[in-house]
Amino acid sequence: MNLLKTLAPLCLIGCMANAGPVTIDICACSHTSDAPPARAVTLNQQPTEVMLALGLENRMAGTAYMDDDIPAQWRDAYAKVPVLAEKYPASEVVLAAEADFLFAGFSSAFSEDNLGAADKWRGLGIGTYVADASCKSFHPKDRPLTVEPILKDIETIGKIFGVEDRAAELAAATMARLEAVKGRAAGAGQTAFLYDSGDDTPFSIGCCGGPALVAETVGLENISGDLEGAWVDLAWERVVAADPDVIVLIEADWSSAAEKRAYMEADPVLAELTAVKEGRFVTVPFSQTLLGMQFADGVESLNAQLAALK
Amino acid sequence: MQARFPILLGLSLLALAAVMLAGVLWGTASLTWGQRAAILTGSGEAPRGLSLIVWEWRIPRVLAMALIGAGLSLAGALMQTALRNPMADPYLMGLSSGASAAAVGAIIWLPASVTAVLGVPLMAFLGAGAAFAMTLGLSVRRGEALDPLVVVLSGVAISLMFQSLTAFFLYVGDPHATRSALGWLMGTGAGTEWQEVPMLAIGLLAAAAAAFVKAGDLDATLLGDERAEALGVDTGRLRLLIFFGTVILTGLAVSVAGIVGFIGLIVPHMARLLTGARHQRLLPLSMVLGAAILTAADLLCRILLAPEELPLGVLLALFAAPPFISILRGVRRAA
Repeated sequence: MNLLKTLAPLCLIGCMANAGPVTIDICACSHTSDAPPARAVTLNQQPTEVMLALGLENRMAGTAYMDDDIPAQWRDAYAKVPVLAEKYPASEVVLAAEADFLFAGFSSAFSEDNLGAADKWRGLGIGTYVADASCKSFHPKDRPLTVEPILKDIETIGKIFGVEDRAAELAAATMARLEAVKGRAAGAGQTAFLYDSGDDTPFSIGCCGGPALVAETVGLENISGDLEGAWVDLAWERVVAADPDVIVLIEADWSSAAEKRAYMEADPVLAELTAVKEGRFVTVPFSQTLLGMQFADGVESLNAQLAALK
Repeated sequence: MQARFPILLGLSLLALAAVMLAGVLWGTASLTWGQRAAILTGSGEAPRGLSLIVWEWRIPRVLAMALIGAGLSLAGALMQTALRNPMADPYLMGLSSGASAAAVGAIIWLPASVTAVLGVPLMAFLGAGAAFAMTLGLSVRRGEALDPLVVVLSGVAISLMFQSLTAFFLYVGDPHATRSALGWLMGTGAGTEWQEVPMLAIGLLAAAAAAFVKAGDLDATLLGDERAEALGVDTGRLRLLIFFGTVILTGLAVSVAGIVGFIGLIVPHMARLLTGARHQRLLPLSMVLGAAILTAADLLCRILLAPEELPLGVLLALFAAPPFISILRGVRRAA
């Protein structure tokens, strides 16, 4: 982490040499493009949805690595975009699609075993951008995330593709929805255990990731909020000792909410938790915990479920 | 050395009792001494949640760790004797890689409804059994005695095959599913249930009893196959017996706690340095030391990063390296 922090300014100086029409800060480096991209390729779900929400489906040459179904309002637009791969596509596939811009949700997209370094792509004249929330040098693991990265992604993509007006509208609408939930947070004063997966030890959340921000926005107090990082491997004893008011189950392909609830109800110790006995479970899909277009959906749905519990 | 043995064994048993008690009293959730006393005496004053933590989670966990530590050390000592190789360990015949491939495959590929019925533990046990059968099948030649070197090499070949399969499963798996598979690969005492304790105990008792009966024969094999056979020991049969015992001990351990490394390799050497190579003394001391060390390591895994848990593999690797280096130096000096 510290190394990244020290390297970031060096990199910025290096990249500043080629100034051009649009220059933006990308994770640890800046990017310059002469003309708005016409053949963008998105990697992961959040970038794909940012593009669709901005009505940029005609400027996309492909997409890859969805976690989940695309929400109904963008499904027709999504159907026009070719899917290049189930996970990260091979570099050759990206080149063959004649991409001129790569927009990834996680920095892992540009690791050596996936698409390869972002520098390499920029060297080929192909622009890159990584969703702000997953940029580790911007967001150290001991500082809680805010909704700022969602707005920043919308704004930046709007600038790159020359659709600033649409971007400003979308950002304002998103912000308004989040503020509305904050104004009537149904989880206020309640403690919550967030359960992603695992049974020997539960995979839960620390202080500073997307899911923690979801919980915070609806007013819940996370029982493992004292731990660094987005995700933590908790001990079950902590959960029993904390006896949370609510259990938030993450609905995901790798572990469904129903199976996690069944596991807790079958365990002789966990079955005795107040929240389990009283059936105080709420569910949020994994894709709605990422800082993207579905984040506001997740926050709204969770808030409604919590309000219904009372 | 003969006179020292009862003292050594007594001290190790005391240490084992102490770490087991500590494993019950300490953990992620902190208890006051009053609560500890109330929980252990079963008086109604203890909070129900904390009492359940101790009786349903900590006690079976500590018992399982002790049994697994003892079982792996016994298996390691026997394998080192059977193959006359100081580097031999319980996983040598492809057991860990077979179990890993089966368990990781089950965690990542099978739907949760199937794994819930069949159970990852059973898959792991079957995987270990399959790898063992393949290693043995590769090593056996009709009408020839089992060559220890061929067994070792077959084990390496089978291990490599299953390791690449595991790597493939991990690579294609979803990162979140992969995480629970990784936890399994590094070994953990978390999630141990009461129902797993009896089968570990039965397996260990049976294997230990058989090993003690054959202690004399085991000593004889240390002299070399020819001399052992001159003393009336059927070395081929003894080796097969050891291999099957190892599969039972290791397969059960792996199915409950995942891959617990280093114990089976290091502890027998420690015991040998303390009490010599005679099996009548080596085996009991290895078992007690192994039980104590694994129980202690598991306790540290629970409290070092509390409320997060460390996998056993991380700590064991850290603590195993220094004694192993000093043992190696000792072995070289002796040679």
